[in-house]
Amino acid sequence: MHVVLVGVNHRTAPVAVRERLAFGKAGVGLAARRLLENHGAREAVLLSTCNRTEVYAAAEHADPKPLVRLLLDCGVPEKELAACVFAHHDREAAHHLHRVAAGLDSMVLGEAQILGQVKEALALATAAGTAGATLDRLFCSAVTAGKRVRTETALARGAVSISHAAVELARKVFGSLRGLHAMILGAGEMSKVTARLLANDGVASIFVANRTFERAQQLAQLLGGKAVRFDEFPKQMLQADMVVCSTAAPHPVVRLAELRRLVPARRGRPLLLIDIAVPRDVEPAVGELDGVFLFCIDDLQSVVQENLEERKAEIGAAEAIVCEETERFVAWLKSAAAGPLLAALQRKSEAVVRGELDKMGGRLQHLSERDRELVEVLARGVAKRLLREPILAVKRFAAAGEPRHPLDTVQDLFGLAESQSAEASTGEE
Amino acid sequence: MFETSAILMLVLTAYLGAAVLYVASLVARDSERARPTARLATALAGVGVLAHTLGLFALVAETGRSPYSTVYGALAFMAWLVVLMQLGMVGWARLYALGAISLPVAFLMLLCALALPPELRQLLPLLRQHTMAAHISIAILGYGAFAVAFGLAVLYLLENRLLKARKLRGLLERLPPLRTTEELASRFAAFGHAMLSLGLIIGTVAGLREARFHFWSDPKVLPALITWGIYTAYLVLRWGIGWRGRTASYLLVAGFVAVLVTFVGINLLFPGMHGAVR
Repeated sequence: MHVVLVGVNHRTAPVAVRERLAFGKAGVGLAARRLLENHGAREAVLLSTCNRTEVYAAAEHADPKPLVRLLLDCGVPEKELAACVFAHHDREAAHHLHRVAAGLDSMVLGEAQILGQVKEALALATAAGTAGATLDRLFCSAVTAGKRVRTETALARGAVSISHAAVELARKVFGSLRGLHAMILGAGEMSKVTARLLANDGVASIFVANRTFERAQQLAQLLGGKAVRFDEFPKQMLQADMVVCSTAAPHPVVRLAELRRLVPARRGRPLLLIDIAVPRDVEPAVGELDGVFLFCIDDLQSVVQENLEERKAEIGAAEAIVCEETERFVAWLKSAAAGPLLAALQRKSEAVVRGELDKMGGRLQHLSERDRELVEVLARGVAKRLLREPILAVKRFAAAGEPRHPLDTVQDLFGLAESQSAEASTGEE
Repeated sequence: MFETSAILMLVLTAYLGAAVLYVASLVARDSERARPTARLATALAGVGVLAHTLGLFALVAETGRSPYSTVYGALAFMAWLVVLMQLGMVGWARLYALGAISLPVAFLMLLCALALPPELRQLLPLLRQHTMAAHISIAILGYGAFAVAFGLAVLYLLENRLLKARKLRGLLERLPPLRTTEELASRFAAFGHAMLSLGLIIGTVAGLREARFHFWSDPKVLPALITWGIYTAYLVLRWGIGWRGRTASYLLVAGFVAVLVTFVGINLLFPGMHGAVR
């Protein structure tokens, strides 16, 4: 059995191609089924995310053409596809999936989502009945590698986006975000992303203030928060634990004079101000007030930058884990190749023993029950002993991954070719 | 006396090692190494505290009295409490960072105990009574809690400064969240205050029954009341009015300084004077 991979990803293909090759959750199963029915694959799993579409198949021959044909069916011109498609088989294919699951192939290095997407791809294929022992093993091995990379290296550690860095900062000050009162100043895209992260982390309330009240209302509704009129936000700041500012105002809207009045009434409760607006929304002197912690976009940017650098430094360690798990899978794949042959060998020996005992059956009638059993044990023992070396040899050949030649020798030696193909045809029904 | 001191010397070494390792893990450049170092420090503190327990038992066996019946024993007992609380904090909230303060504090307490002049290893005059034993042991429990609250307050001030300076990397990554530090400090201070109050009440009642005891001329009474006053002020501010943050943390630091003056200072300057017959 061979593992074959054909695919496109964010490195090889522009979004114009990727979007046409994107399979939805339902499409993934159907396409995999088609691959089994029309293109002669034994197993198929599709990994389709916004950054990649990769088709994994287990087949008798390491031929990528059927998989390419599946992608062509999506309506991408052959020339265009040929420019961006990649194909691997066996070790390279396995290595690729292990790297993907580890986040080494992601647009944002060490990104977390992909591991879940790899798991989901296998689950969808299992549900569609297109996954089998080989790809199941491959995907589980890749997920193992992904988990190990995330726990054993720092590849996925630290925030690498402004909004995540803001949330991490809030955790540094408050610990759990549960029960916090957050305020969003300005209803731009950045505030929306950050506010959603805060909402996911369980803040108690989110107030949204914006120049145009309607937009504040829209965003508040989206987040399950409450809209506030823009001129009322200073009053709300008395309650707030953290404020994310990203208005388009040309001058500061959070002023020292207002905050100075506010701070004594807060009685030392920390106030986290995150100003991601340019030009800045908060007067810099505000950060000097007792209990007020002010961070601007540059502070967050430098955190993100340093985290990215730190992730890059972990690439080597992550690649080592990926290689280790890949090799483990490849060794299994090779030894699995000998599986059907060994099974056929066992069946053959059992059949020979049975046949000989049946032939002798009439002539053993005079023996006692116990002696007949002994003869049977003897016959089986001889067969088993005879097969010991050939079985070990087959396992050895398979693990070494030698060309078929030695296996064929054993096959010929015991005349197993016929029984094996007969078994294969019944097994496929 | 010799064997107990020998055990406690070993304990002292263990605490010194743990204190150095805790500090090293807090300021380590390499964050990969910080965690293992802190774990090693915790293990060392754990071994130390076990030996320390043995040492305290040996002390009791030797003198036939509770460990805090001498200044020497009382200090050793207090150090034991502080390390125990540190281990509890690590187990409960992975608060390794606190060790960088609490272990040096415990080390210094034990060092003081071992460096005391021999006459301070004698029984305290009034300690022949059970009420006095209760008075001291409860007060010491409070002092231990104050030591931990002090450590947390120092961490809070450090963290406050780092956040203000926007130094988000390195040291800050190894400190607990600002709010957690503040809340824990206030809880330890509240517990310590309750213990100190109880200890003072017991002491006063016992002292008043003693005809020879002159309340105001006892060198320890005034500092003890000042200590109590500082922590009372802190608790009223913190739990009553909701004040927290820098000012409140400074109060906790001041409170612990008062504790040191009350306990170590007075006992060293006026040995044997507290509750003594004059």
